[in-house]
Amino acid sequence: MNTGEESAGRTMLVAVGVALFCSAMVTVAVHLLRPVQAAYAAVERNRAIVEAAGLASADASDDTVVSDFLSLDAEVIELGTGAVVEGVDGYSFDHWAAGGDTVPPEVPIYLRHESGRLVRVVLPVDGRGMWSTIHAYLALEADLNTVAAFVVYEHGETPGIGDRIQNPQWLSLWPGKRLRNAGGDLIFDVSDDPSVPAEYRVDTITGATVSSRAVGRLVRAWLGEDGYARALTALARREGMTP
Amino acid sequence: MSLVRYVTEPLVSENPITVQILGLCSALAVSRSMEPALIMAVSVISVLVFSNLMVSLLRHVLPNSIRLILEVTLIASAVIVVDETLKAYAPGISEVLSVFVGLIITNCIILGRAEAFALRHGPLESVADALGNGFGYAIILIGVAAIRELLGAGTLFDHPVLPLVEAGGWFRTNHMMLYAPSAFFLIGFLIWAIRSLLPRQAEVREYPPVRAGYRETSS
Repeated sequence: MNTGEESAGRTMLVAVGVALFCSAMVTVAVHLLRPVQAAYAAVERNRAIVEAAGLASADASDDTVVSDFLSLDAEVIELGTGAVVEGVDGYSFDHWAAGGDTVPPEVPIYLRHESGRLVRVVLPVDGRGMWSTIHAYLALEADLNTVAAFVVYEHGETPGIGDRIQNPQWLSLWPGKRLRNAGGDLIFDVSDDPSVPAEYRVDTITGATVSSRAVGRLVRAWLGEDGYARALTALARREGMTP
Repeated sequence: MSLVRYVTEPLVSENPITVQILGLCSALAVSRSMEPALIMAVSVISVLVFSNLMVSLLRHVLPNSIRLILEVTLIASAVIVVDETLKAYAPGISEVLSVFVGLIITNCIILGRAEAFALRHGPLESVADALGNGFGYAIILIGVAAIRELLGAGTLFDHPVLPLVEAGGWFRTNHMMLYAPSAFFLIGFLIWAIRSLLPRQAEVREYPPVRAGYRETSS
């Protein structure tokens, strides 16, 4: 152990030296590992989309996930008008990359067709949870008014508490729920309020009330006028359905 | 002491968990099944070897006044590198281990070995000591994980070993084994067993009980 004289200068020198060494080590490691992590994140994102589309299961191999993902039709739509943006690759378009809290003008959506007919549409949704931004995918049946699946892709809610929004049992409550009533009003909500009819309501999670309510809030926001409302109307028209 | 003994001593007779009762937090938290326990053990061994080596190399240079800060800086950097590596190459396990990889920084074994050993020994001995203590930690962690996974889920490394009642077999899973307290019991039994076999390890009572029926409340 060092027992010798300790001048302030030498102490500083050693401190700076160790700090520089450590930061160099961390920087190099992170720089080298980032691409590998990004590749994994991309596959996981495709996995969430494919799962929402009802194709591969959560434990499918990476190759299955990617090929299933490419079997979907990815389009980028302009939320303001609901129109498809031409000339943009929907498979690689990432409207979450920029981050931030504002709704981006253009968003990718994923359509699953079977023998020419629309079966499901997968819509990315995001919003504030309790601590973090929750990124998720909402899949709708071909009538564009029935939930087919809800898959949470990414969140930073409290482990063991808020992360129950990923609980398969809770997510299994989603399929079959209706969004709008016959008058076109958005009724769907995550709520424990019994005045919301059960067919429009997913119960909040005991112990994860804030996070699960936040999920309901963000889904409602994305289905509203500032979200997918116009895009869904336009999609129904394009697919030759009466909305 | 030869290098080999530095490695073998901490396995049982000087085991960091059962003798020194260090590093318990992660031993309780990540010993639920084999795979995360194995990855955790490898992570702790890597960090331990790095920190012992670095502290040993720098032992004549580290100023006493900021010695601990510098040691923790080195340990923390190694932990970040390990954490990022896991996120890249074992992302599933990394999610299971969640905060516990980051908490290796506060694992008492690592700072303990740096302070108690690496500051006074050369790099070669320090690496041997790190390997020994790392393996000692790994043995307990993996052993406890094996018991917990086997009794709690009837599997080892997620492979079915005991036929479950649900699948027509005879084995009924013990759900308590899936919760952290079971690791407390198991490590407790282990310490009891080892100290019965090696009575040398049992600590001498530091003071006699004050009077019958009186329970010591402060520790």
